[in-house]
Amino acid sequence: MRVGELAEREVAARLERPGLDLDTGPFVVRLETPIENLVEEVRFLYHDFPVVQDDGFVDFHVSISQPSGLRRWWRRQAVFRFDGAMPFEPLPFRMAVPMLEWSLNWCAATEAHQYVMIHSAVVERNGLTIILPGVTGSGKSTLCAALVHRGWRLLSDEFALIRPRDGRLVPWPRPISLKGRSIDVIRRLAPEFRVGSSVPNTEKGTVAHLQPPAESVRRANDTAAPTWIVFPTYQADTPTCLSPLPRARAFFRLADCSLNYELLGRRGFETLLQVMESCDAYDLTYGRLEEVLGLLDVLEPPKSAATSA
Amino acid sequence: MNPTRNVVWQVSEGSRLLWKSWDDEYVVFDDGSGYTHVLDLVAGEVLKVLEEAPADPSQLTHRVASRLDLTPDPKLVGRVQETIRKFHEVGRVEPTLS
Amino acid sequence: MLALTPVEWDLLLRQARRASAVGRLGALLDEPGALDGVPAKVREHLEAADALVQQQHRLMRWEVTRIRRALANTGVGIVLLKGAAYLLAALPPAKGRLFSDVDIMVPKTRLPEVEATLLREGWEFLDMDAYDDQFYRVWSHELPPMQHRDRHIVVDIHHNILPPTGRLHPEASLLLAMARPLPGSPLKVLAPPDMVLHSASHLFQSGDLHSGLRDLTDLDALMRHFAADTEFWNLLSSRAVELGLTRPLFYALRFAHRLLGTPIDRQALDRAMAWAPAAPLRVMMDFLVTEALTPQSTGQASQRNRLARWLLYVRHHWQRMPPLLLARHLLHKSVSRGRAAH
Repeated sequence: MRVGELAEREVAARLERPGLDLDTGPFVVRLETPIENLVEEVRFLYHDFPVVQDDGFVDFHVSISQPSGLRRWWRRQAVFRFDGAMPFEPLPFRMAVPMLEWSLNWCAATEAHQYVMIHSAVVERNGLTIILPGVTGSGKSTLCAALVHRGWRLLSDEFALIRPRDGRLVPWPRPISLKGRSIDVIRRLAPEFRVGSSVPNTEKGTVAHLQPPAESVRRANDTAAPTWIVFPTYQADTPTCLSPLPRARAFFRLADCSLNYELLGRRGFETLLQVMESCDAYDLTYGRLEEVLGLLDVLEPPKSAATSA
Repeated sequence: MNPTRNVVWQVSEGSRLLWKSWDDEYVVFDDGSGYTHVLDLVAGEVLKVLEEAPADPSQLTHRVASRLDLTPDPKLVGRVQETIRKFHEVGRVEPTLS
Repeated sequence: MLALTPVEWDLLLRQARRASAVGRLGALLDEPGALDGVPAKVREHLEAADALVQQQHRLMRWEVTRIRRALANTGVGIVLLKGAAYLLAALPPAKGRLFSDVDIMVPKTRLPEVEATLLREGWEFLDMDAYDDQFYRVWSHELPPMQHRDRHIVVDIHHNILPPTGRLHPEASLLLAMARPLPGSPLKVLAPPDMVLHSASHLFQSGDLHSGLRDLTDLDALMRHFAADTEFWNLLSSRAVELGLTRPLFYALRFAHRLLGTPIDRQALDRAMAWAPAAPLRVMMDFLVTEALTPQSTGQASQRNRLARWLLYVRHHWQRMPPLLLARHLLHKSVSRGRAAH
């Protein structure tokens, strides 16, 4: 049973109490919220996600609600609670939707150390994957959305989850977040995408979320092997330039984009070694999406790995 | 601290180094401190030599030169000194306790 | 414990997370076959928590080595306390446990030399305002916490196990005299009875009961471990008298026994009753401590729980300094906390 198959009333009721259990792929999330417009957007953005019906184990208990007291009515706020604690300051009420997405990112970032986590987008086609590491603003989410529009499967727009025991990428195909200008860029490029409401004036500018393609959600349990690592940098009006990166350099930059490489110590090191052994890495600067998409379509698969020390 | 002629250097006590090389570079992880380094050939050889046994800068330069088939000229001496200085700065090597 | 439903596992994990004890839970299950009945998702959470624990342990060992080397030429005897001691002496409380600071104890007369040496070797005092700095140095007669400029671990350098401004004054020289060296190392740890008394004094004098249950489990683990020596309970009681720490020992034995079922020698328990406070205070402490230490089932600290914790916090500071100074200190703390929130 998927969210989209439940009646609106039922989704709202469950979200209010005891919470709606969503199978998001690697994590079962119990979401509790009484906030109406958040209910609407959850139904929209998580339309194709399975609802977990039985009483089972939940990975993250997330509540987005309103604070008690004055701020419940005046300059209304939304509050994220995780296991009863409040990791963030409250945000203005209208930011409830991005708050949900940031909260889920936070849950994984602080808890999910069974994976090596890289701040990156990940897409897959024909069994080959591109990891696009980068901080917010590097353009990875826009590039990710464009690649998905072009037919690549979405594994994630935010987190590469790498499984240490076999180096495989675990999908977490949640809504893609777009910021500022890229919202319009993607609306024009991909009119078939279903885009949620824009929320202006967040600390990341205007933010909107894309409903992830049903097929990507359906395949949330299909892991994939890493193939290419492409570090994107968007710079308006620059020609597209894809230059190979030596593996040692790429290793370091990948580790630098990781949320928990240092924390994981030896296991983090060995996992990224495994990844780098089988991948080719590139630096990418680009100014025009259309040029880049064509280039990424025809990347050469890596030859067999270099010899080790 | 500037590496002087009389200081004998060692890999920092408690280090456990894991090595990987690709092309002309090394990635080294230390399971003691949790630090990771990317090193060129000379820096890598300096660390390998010290990993085997403590050495003063002069011994170090000669061993590195012999293993990499280089001349132990002033340029190499300078490079080795600089490498020791940087390693010391990041806590990778330390003077042996007298 | 192993035959839990998924919902029960869910609740257990969340409780453990609230008490920062997920690593502990994992360590408890680290027996052959114990993980067989545990659902895969739960095992993943345990694994994730273990990664954090291993990282902390690594950083702590590294820091202790660096401190030892930095102070090597001074010849000052270093006694490791609390987490650093448990870890390096491979004692049960270290398993699965998250620690934050490295605590060491040195003779009071050597403090200036230790301070100067560490400063020279790259450690710095933590950023704090002039008030806190004064609080540490002048009032507590302690060094403010230090941190090496290249690292994050905080180092606390003590000359006794309790602040000199409190009501209890164990004789530091007695503690140092009985300290035991670690195998193959110049570093020492407190003798077993002293370690237990330190933990007991810390738990029941400390103002911060947020991690109270965790500290009580340390006490439980220590006592179970040391009880293998039949002399231990006698030594513990007589040492408590010698150091003037009989009241905290009373609380430790009483609450470990009541809340955690720690097997405690009957004679030791009986003897400790003589050190109990008068009935009204004891009843109130029973209520406060049980209320403050018992985890809340919904994961939300109830009003009563918070009140109990605040009362104990005030009691801690009451014992540490005169009333006027306490008021000033608490006022300052709440003002700076208010500022930090904006």
